[in-house]
This record gives sequence, structure tokens and C-alpha cells, in this order.
Amino acid sequence: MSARFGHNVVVRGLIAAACASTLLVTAACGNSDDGDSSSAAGASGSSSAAAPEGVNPEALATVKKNLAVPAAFEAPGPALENVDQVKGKSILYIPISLQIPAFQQVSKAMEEAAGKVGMTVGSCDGKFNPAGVAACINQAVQQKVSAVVLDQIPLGLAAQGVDQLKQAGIAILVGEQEAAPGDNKLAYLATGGDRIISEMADWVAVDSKGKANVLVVAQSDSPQQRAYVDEGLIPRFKKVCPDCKTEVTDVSSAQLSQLGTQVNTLLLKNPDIDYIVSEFDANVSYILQGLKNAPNGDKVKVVSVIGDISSLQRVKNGQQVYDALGNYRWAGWALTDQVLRMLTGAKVLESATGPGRAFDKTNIDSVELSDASIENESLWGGDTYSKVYQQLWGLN
Amino acid sequence: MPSAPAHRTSGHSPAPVATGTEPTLSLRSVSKRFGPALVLDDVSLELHPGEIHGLVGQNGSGKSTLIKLLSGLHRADAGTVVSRGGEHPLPLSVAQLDALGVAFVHQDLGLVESQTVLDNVRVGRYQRGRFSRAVRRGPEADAVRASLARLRSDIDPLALVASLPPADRALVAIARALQNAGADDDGAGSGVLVFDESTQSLPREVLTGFYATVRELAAAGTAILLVSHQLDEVIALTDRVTVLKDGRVAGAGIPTAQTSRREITRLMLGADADTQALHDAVPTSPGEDGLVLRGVTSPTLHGLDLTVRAGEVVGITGTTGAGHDELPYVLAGVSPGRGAVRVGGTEVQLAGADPRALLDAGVALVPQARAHQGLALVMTAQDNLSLPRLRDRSGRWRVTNGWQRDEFAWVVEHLGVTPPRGDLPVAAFSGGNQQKLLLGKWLVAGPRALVLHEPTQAVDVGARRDILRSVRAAAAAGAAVLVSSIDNEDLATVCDRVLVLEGGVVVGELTGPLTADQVLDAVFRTELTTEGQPA
Amino acid sequence: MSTSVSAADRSGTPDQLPTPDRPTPAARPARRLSGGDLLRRWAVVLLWVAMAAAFAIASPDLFLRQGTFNIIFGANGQLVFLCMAVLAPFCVGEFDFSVAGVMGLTGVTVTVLYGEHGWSLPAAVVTALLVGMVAGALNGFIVVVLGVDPIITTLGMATALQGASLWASGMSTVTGLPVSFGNVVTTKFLGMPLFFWYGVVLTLAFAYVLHVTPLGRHMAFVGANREVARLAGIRVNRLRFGAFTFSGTIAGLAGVLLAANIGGFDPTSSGIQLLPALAATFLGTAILFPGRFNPLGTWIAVFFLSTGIVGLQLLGLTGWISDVFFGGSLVVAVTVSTLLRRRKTRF
Repeated sequence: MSARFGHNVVVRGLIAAACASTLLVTAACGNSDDGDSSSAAGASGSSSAAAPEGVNPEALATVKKNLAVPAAFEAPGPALENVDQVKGKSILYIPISLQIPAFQQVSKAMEEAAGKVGMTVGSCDGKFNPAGVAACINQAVQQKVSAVVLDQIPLGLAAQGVDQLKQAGIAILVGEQEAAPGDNKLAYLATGGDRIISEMADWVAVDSKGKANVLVVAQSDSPQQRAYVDEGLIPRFKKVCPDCKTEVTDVSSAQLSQLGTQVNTLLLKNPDIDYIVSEFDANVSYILQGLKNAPNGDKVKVVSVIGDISSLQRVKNGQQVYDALGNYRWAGWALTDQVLRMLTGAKVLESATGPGRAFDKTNIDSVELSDASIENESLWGGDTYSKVYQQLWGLN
Repeated sequence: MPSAPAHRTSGHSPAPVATGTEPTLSLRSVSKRFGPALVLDDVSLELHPGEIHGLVGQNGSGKSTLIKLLSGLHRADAGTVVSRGGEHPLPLSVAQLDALGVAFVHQDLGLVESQTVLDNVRVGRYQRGRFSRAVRRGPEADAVRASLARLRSDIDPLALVASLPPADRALVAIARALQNAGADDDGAGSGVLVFDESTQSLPREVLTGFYATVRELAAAGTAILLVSHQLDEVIALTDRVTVLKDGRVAGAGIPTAQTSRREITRLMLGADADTQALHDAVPTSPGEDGLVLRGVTSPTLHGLDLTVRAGEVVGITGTTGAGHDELPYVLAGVSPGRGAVRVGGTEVQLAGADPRALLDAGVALVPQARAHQGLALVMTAQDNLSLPRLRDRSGRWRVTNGWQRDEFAWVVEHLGVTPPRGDLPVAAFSGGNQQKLLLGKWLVAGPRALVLHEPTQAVDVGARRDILRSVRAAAAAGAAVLVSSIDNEDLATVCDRVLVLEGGVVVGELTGPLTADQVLDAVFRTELTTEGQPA
Repeated sequence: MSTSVSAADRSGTPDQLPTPDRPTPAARPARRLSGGDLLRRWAVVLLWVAMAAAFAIASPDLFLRQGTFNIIFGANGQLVFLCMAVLAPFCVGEFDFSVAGVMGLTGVTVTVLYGEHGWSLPAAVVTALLVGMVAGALNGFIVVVLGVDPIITTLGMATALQGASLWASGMSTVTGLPVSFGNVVTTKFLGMPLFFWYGVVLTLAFAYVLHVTPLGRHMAFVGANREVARLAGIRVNRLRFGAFTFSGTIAGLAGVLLAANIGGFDPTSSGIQLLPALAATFLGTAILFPGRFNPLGTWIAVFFLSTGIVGLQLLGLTGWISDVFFGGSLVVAVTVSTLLRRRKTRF
């Protein structure tokens, strides 16, 4: 199965949030702050090495990095000791929903990774509701698993369950939200998904030479989704594109059918808008449908992230100018690595960064747009991480 | 024929009508009006202790309205109930009905199948624990067991009603009603038990037991009112009969022993109405064969052969199940059947035929169910009228209006539809005018064969005359007309010939001029001759 | 049985029969409209005008613009098609809740056949339309021939078709239709995209059939009383089957045109189109021909609702208020129309 996401209307907002945080990886490697224009010179970038007039050099560097084939994976932390002791232990993976192919991918990758060290991984469907999550936590307690991975489940949804798990001595890994320090009993792992959203600002800054008029379409189904915009994307615009103007409009998954006209009326109100930045790629088709009918819709560039092969196809066709996506299989390995750190008493990580990549018209032709490109990971330059993790775990 | 006992069961001696005793309950001068229609007009009825009193009448005669007034479902315009020394204006409240000991066993028995016998009998009357407010199921079950025992039944009170055979279900319904009918512990009743078409839902084979139960209840002193349209049952079971016709009492408390099924029928259908034959006023001249049926077979018809000549009005009648009421629908292709129908020169095989085929052959059907099959009530009168001819008269692409207006004007002129407004929905017309529209819808096209079923049911006297006259006029214009009816007045009035059906074949033929009584005699004569033969 | 009572032979005495040519009031011409009638028919249209005026006053510089007009009338191309697809079964007394599902499946079909399987565009379009027609005919077969409840059938079908389109699309948005194909719907004519004009043509054609031709009258009778229609010789089942097939075909066409419009299709986006279509169709019963499903009223309803939504959006009111407006205006309009009609029948 491809790593696309399947979504129906009701759940798409949640899914979008889910994919944004844990499962996706920033296109940038770690901190973009230390990148300068020269360090990105090798990338297949569209820009020349020197930042043109009005372009923030930091943004230019970030964009170059994002568009390039990810560098070979580097170890996220120190090697582990005594990995033997986890042999025969088990992990229960509880995503917010197993209906979503992306989570199935993660589950499969975890099985593969944990199998290397002799652990078993089960999965349990959170079914998008607290009752489902609670049932899964009960299952974990009864099966006496060693660790539970809560993927994209807000802790508020499972507060009581977390207490139960703690009492049962089960390690909890929360794959969600921002990087946060943890310990061997309760740890977090951020894979930098928020950055993939906020770095759309970098691309817009470069493309518009620092003078964009941006309409941001924010998903408002959960506070977390709004936070990606308010605390990530908008501040990033302020930083890398101080002259850009931004305007935010909300959409909830229940009202997607009106997103087209919503975008249109905003364009009518503000004809200067030349970029639409959509928080999640899943909304782009509604936006495009609206633009067909907007007064100057054909002059507006649509920027979005967290897409799939068909989003890349839109980039190729020119309907959309930018998209970025991450690697779900790697996410499974990264979560497994963190669980091993917790179980072996090593110091836990706060975040991990894996292969992710952005595409625009300058590099879209360098990859083959088919499901196979996701399955064989050629979009990200192939699997460079599983060997690294196995080495960290003391395997050959 | 229904297999209800046609003769009094030996051992049941009719209770002498205690003219001297006080009635258990009297209904006095009850009247009820629905809009412009007076459905009950000064109806009185006396029920004596230990008496089984039959209440009969045609559909629409007002008998079910009377029961609904007594049970408080409808509010009477006038009338009182006299019982136990008091006079109570209608409607009675549920509490009053309880106090007077009046109870009902309804047509469908009114049982909740998914619940136990106990709950069905006791719902609304549970003894509750003083503090727990919980139903005391032990004592409750004992009480129900005891009351069922009085009906000589040992049904388990905790059984689900759904698991009971029909006969036992009836007993459960009676047991429930008896609590209200004031049956004392010794079984002596002092109240009134009303059976409202209760035997409708019972299979034939359990009726004998049911009748025995009813007789025992009466013998114990309960006054019983049996509302039924099964005359056999009424004759066999009751001591006295009250007949309603058109909202009035046509026969009050006639001792059953002194009357007959035929006489009751005459009272129900009305001997006093206008029976004038239309033969002289609208003469017809039967010509060649117009409508020929050969070997028509259906669930109730068995190889029926029948010929109606053009310009002739032929009636068909019979008792329940004789097949006369199914024939119109079978020969119009509406109900499934086999056999051949020839209209003029066109012959249609009924097997697999649809209404269109028979319409094309020239058959027009005026069904009995006016609102269900005859007219679309929400559509306008003119649209309804012209519906069958829309495509032929208008062409495929555009509905033209001129001919529709002409048709409506023709119907207004010949049938006297009021108000003469084609733009009103049919629902806005009175029953009689709706029936005229229904008839006009087919007459206006001048059908070769006109088939009618109960053409004057539930219409007033004036409309009835207009309708019957138009039927004759259609024949005079050359149509072969077949009228299926149990209304002997109608048949005598319009028909040149009347055929009596029994068991799906023609068993008798009468040739006009006729009287209503001759038709009635013919129907019951055949009934007597065929009685006792296997169906 | 005793027949002790001898009925006296009653020989009828001649009686006055109704005179054959008694004078009757002349039949009045049908369909004369009273002032009340006019109000009932046009109430929602008046409300529409009033609403537009209110928006114009509240926000004159934005609302009174060509662009606003374009958004209101240009943004609902597929919705008009879906409404007409829903309408046909309603007219004959049936239900079809699978129209959005059919639209989704054909939109995906045409895109996948062209984009992923390399079919020629005409072949892909024709195949997609056939898929829609077959889906409608399947509904018709199950409901009319097998006699299954239409609500259950078409709701089930809607879900099944949604699943089928997810399967056909690999569970994601499909793209790849050529821009030139998009011109079929996006080309402007008199300032409006062709998609809008197709909707106008479809609505007018449907209205013509329903109100002017014998076929339309027959459909109305089948909807009003199936048995009456059957006894009048109308091939009721053929009409019911035809209505479902038409519904599927039109919904299929909507899917193809929508795919052309955006150059691809999101299989999950079709489901949310059903409720707006139903809302407009029901609201349409309060317009022009009160109490009857009718295409012109439905068309007006689509743009009445669209005006409200766009107007509110221009005032900066989005989110919950549009749901309140959508649902509220439907209930209010249909309630008012029902009450007016009830007064009419109680004359």
C-alpha cells in the first residue's frame, strides 16, 4: 500500500493534524538557522547561490535544503547498550485511527524494526474517540506489554489511561506535538512535523522576493491545527519575510464544501492576494475549484504541504506550486528507536529528523511520480536510515 | 362462505329479553357530525344484563363511530349514557368508563406481542410496592392466572404474547377487558363488554371456542355488545340486534329469533331508498356482444364465462368470497388472473397483461377505492380527469389545454360536478363529487366496455342518482357496462340483467326489470342451495 | 337459516329523474391565480431579493460587484446537476441518495482512465457516463424490480459507490486531465463559465419535460398516486426505473464535468455534496409550485442558498453561521410554504 492518506470527510481534519506532527519529517535537516547560502549550493535549487534582492538568505538556504535530495541519514543520538534485554518484550501501537493508511504504514514499519531486536508489535485502533483509546489502553494493561506508543492521541483524551499505564509500569511514548523532554517512563518524540508547515513561508519568501500577499487557509478542527499556523507559520513569515502580508481564514472539515466560495470572497475583498498557503494538502482541491471561478484566480499560486503522489502531480501540472512530504516508514523506525531507548534506560530523545522533501517546478521532474516512488523511497533518495538504526542498536 | 355456525348451538337458550329489568347501560340520543356530514343521528341503544346484543350496519353506517364515541375517542355532539342509576353526558372519561365497568376488545385485540401476558393484562393497573414502587410480580401473576382461569384457560401469565396461538391471544384480550367490565371474583359480571369486530383477527377454527366464552360471560351477567359485519356470527350468537343505516337506527333491538339474515341485510342496505329503475328513463338497446369473458380465473374466480352486449348493463353480485368483487380488477388487468377478454374485435389474454393493454382494448375501470386507486387527491380535478388520454390527445411533446377544458366542461354538464372548478385539487371536493369525477374520467372518453365496482359507495342520495343515471347513459351510448356491487338497490336500478356469482362461477341470472328484493332473494337462495357443499 | 320474514314486493313508483340537461354553472377556466397564490409562489424569491438588498446595504462596496455575482452563480455548477439528479426520483415518489456517490465514481473514473490507463479522452468520458447510467439503473432494478425500499437501497449504494471510487483512485485525489478538457466547463460565455450555462440548460429542459409534456404529467401522477397512474394505463415501473437511470446519468455527468473543472477528482469530496443538494431540492418545493418538486424552484433555491453563504462570507461571517443559515432557511422556507398551503386547502 502506498503511503498516501485515505481520508473521508469527517476525519480528514484529524488526519491532517496527525500527519502533520508525528509522521512527517521536516524537509530541512535539523536547524535551518545554521544554513547559509553557500552550504546549499549543491542542491538542485532554482536560485542562484547569492540571495537576490529582497530575499532572506536564511529562507533561501532552507528552500534549497528542502528541495534537495535529503542527505544520508545521521544517527539521531548515542548508540544503545544492552539491547538484548528487550528480546521477547512487546509494544502496543495505538494510533488515533488505524483506518488511515499512513498509520498502517507506521505500524508495519515498527513491526519490521522491532523484529530486528526480537520484540513484537501489536496495534490497536483508537477509532477517533476516547472510548476506543481507553479500550486500547485496557488491552495494553491486560497484555502486560512493555511499552505503549500513543500516536497523535492528545494526552487529554487519555489522561486516566496514562495513569493506568503508569501504575502498570508500562512505558509510554507519546508521538505527538512539539519536542519535549521525557524520561524512561513517559517520553515524547517530535519528528518536526510543524516545521514542514512553517517552512512554506521560506518558499513563499524566496519565490515572491519578499513581497507576497498571502492568504493562509488554516484547518480549525483542533487547537493543535490552529497552533501550527499561529505559532509556527505566521511567526516564520514574520521572520523570513517581514514585508509579506498574511491573512488567515479558518475552515473546518464539516464545511469544506464552502471552502471554494470562501476563498473566492476573500480574493474579492482583497484582490492583491497572490499566494494561497493551505495548511494541509487535502484542502487544495476545494481551493482550486474555487479559484476556477475567482476574479483573478489564475494569478494566484497555491502552496501546500503533506500531500501525496497526486499533489506532486498537481505541482507537475502547475496547478499547485509547492508541496512537501515525509516518510512514514522512517517514522516507524524512529518511534521504535525511542522505545528501545526507554526500555534500555538510555537517555531519551526529544525529537528526531528523518527524510523529508519539498518539491516545486525546479525539481519535480527529477523524480518519478508513481506509487512506487513512495514505496521504494526514491522520492527521498532511498532508505539510508534503517542501517543506521540497526547499528545504533548493536546489530549488523 | 365463512364457516361460522349458521344455526344456534344447542345448549344455548337465548336469555329472555328482560324487558322488566333495568338496562346495564343505555345510550340515549347520540348524534355526531363530521363537518357537513351527519354520521350519527339520534341513535339510542339499550344493553341488558346477560344479553348479547349485535350491532350491524354497512361501512359508513356509523357503527364504528358509535363505539368510538362510547370509548371516548370522539366527542359526541349530543347524547348521554345512562348506567347504574346515573346519567352521564358523552364523552366519558377513562375513569368513568372504569367506574361504569365498560370495556372494549378491539379489532386487532390491542396486544403488545413482545410483552408477557401479565404485562398485557395488567399494564396501567399494576400493584406497586409501597416504597420500592416496583411492580409486585408475584401477586400480579396470581391475579392474572386467576382471571384467566375464570375463562377456563391455563395460559402462563409469564409467557410472551407472541408465543401464544390466536385463540389464547383472544382470551388474553378478554381477560384484560374483563377487569374493567366489573367481573367479580366469582365471575358474575355487572358491566359491559364491547367486542368491536374482534373476530376479524381470529382464525375460523378457534371461533367456536370464542363464541362459547362469550356466551359464558353473558350467562354470568355481563352485558355484551357485539359489533360485527359477519351476519352469520350475529345470527348465531346474539339475542337481539340493532341495525344502523346512514347514521340512524334502522332496526332497534330486534329479537334475533324473530328475524333472519335476509331481513337484517334488507335493513342494512335500506329498503326505503329511491328504488326507481332507470330503465324507462334511459332506455338502452342491447346490440352485439360488447364484452366477452372466457375462462377468467383468479384466486376467487374459477373459469368464469360471461358476455355483456354493447348497450347493456349487467350487474354481478354475490356473497363474500363469491368472486364478484375481484372480477372488475382481474378483467381490467389490475389484479393477476388468466383467461381471455374480448372487447369489440380485440381479444386480450389476461395472463401477463397490464392495465394499458386492456385500456387500449377499450376497457375502463371505475374502482371502488376512490382515494387509493381512483383519483390522485393532491392533483387538480382537471388533471385527474384527462390523465388517461394525455399522450393520445396532446401528442408527445406538449400537453395542450383546450381538449382538457372541454372534457371537464362535459363532465360538469353531464354529471353535475360542484364546484365546477378544474383547478382545485380533488381533495377539495365532497365524496359524491369525487365519485362523479372518477366516473367522468372514464365516461368522457366513451369507453367500449365500462366496468364499475360499488359505484355509489359512500355517496349521498343525490349524487347516487346522478351517477347511476350516467352509467345507464353510457350504455345507451353503446358501451357494454358491467357493475359489480352488493348494493341490491343499485343493481335493481341500473341493470338489464344481474348475474349471481358463487364460488367464482355464475350460479344465477335475473333479467330486468328487477326489484331490490328479487336481487336479494336470488343471492340468498343460491347461498342456501350451496350451503354445506365443499368450497 | 330461517327466512321467516317475507319481504313485501315493492314495486317502485316512477320518480323524478335528474333532467339530462339541467343547467350547470359553466366550468371556470382552470388555474386562475389569486394574489395569495402569487405570494405563495414567489415568497422565497422575494426573500432572495430582500436578502440581496440587505447584503448590498451592509456591504455595498463588496456585494455590488461583478465578482460577487460571478462567485454566487459560478460556484455551484455541479450542485445544479446533482439537484436535478435528486429531483427526478423525487418527482415519481422515489428517493435517490446515491447521486453524490455516483458523481464521485464517475469523476474518479474519467480521471483514472485517462490519466493512469492512458485511454483517449472521449472513451474515458463515455465510459464514465455509462458507469453513472449503470449505477442509476442498478438502483432502479433493486427498487423497482426487486421492490426494496429506495431510501435503504440508495443510502447503501451511496456508501458502496464511495468505496468503489476510493478503490479506483487508490484512496487519494486523482489528477491528470488536460487543461483543454477543462475549457469545456470553464470557458466564459456572457461572463459566466459554461458549467453555469449547462446547469441552466438542464434545468430548463427538465422543467419543460415536467411541466409541459405528457411525460411530466405522468411523472407527477406516479409521484402523487402510483396506483391511480397504473390504472390510467401509465407504465409506472418504467417511469420509476427511468427516473433512477436519469438520476444516475445526470449525476455521472456532474462528476465528469466537475473532474474537467478541476483537472482531477478527490473521491472523498463528493459525499459532502449530497446534503446541499437535498437542501436545495427541498427548499425548491417552496418556490413557484408550492408543495411540488420542481426544477425551476430548485434552481432558484441553489442560488438563494449560495447568495446567503457568499453574502455572509463577504461580511466576514464564516463557520457556524453558514450552517445555521443553510439549515435554518430550509426549515423556515418549507414551514412557511406548508402553512400557506394549509390555509389554502382550508377554504
